[in-house]
Amino acid sequence: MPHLVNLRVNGEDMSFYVEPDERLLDTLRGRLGLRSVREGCGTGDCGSCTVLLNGRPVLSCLMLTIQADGSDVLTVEGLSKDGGVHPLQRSFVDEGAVRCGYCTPAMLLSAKALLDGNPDPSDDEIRDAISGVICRCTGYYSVMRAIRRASKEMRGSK
Amino acid sequence: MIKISHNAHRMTASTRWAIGDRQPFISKRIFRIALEFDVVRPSGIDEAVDAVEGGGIPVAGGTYLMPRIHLRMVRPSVLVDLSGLRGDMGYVAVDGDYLRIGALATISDLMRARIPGGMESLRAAASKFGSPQIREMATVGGNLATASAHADLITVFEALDARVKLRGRRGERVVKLGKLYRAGGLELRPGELLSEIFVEMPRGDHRTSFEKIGRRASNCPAVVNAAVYMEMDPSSGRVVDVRIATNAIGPGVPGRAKAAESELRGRKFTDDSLSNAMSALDGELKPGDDFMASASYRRMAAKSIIAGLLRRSAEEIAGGAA
Repeated sequence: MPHLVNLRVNGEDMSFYVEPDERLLDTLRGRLGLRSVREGCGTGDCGSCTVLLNGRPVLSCLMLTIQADGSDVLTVEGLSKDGGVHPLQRSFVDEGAVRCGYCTPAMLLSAKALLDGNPDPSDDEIRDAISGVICRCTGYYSVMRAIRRASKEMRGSK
Repeated sequence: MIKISHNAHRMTASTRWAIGDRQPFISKRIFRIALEFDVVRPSGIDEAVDAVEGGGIPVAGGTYLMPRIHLRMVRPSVLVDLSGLRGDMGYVAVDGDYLRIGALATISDLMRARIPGGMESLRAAASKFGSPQIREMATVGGNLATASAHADLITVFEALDARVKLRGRRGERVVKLGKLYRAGGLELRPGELLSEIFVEMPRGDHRTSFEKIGRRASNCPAVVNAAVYMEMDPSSGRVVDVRIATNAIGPGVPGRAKAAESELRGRKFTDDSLSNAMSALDGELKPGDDFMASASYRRMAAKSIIAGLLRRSAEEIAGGAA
């Protein structure tokens, strides 16, 4: 039996019916067309389905949409407003932190969750924040550089 | 197969979707593999107990169950989603002499909670648990209720001599954590759910500590884990009380290394007493053998980390940071 859910996705309130066995990943990617939300392993190991739920990183492949009922969901599509580019996106490009790009949305959102709570993180804190996302292009160092750079820029602009 | 959906989203003409001016798009049909279960969302624990007694499988954070459903290792027909009860059962609170943790507190809740001193083992295990995303989702009760050999919190809470509250049709009962497990699963009555875990706050000159070894640092089940609680008289060096827990104690859930404990308890902590405890430990460890590590590696690793934790605890207490 379909369940009615209310979600705020990238700042937009919406309510619609979903199947009980529908994962948040299926809803975001399939139903809402948010292609930044990716299914890698489907078992919580790779992290590429990461989205921010009420500001905290979660794995959308392991969460049912009805479990997210009433929550605020952020994907990379909602990272920047009005067609702009978020400082993290800019610094990922500038530091060459995007290779094949499959893990990039999850890296960006993990970094955003970190910087929102901790604007000036240490290298260990950055490492821990992205430790739930696997990058098989071995881009971790460039990702770390990009996050450091964005954190500097974001602090500077305040 | 996929029938859906009453497209009742609300929006105003001025709202914008993502980048650019595209209107929100909510598809009625999506391509996905149906997992084919129904979900019950109880509004209170009694309703949850009824649903579980009726044959539903309880799910909280889903980080253990959902991968198994995805891989078709489990094919439930009804899930009982406990996540809606988090408001009532997601607490981490000091209540008099006890630290009380609601079964639905997440690992992140545990890390963010202001737990007074002496609970370093809990902090250490939480910060090494899974990945940041897993820590946001996984619950303390879930980790205990999976009855897994890799559950770090079973090890930590065993060393803290924790008790759990079980909620069933006929009310509530309290059991020692160790009594919750039997070979291959949980010692639960039909419909019973774990509602709380609680620990008496340690007093006196004590240390709690935790260590784990995995194939890598993040998002990796423990090959070997161990936790130690030690209370020692700092002036005489006599061990007042000690509890050692590890998952190398057997192939199943983690448990206490009681023979090693009794070699230390009541005696002065010395190289000799430690070495006696290690011999006793060697006799009681029965680690499992699997794709992650051999039993002999686990035995060696467990002895090494337990000796290290004991030595460090004794040194720190004797060092007088009491």
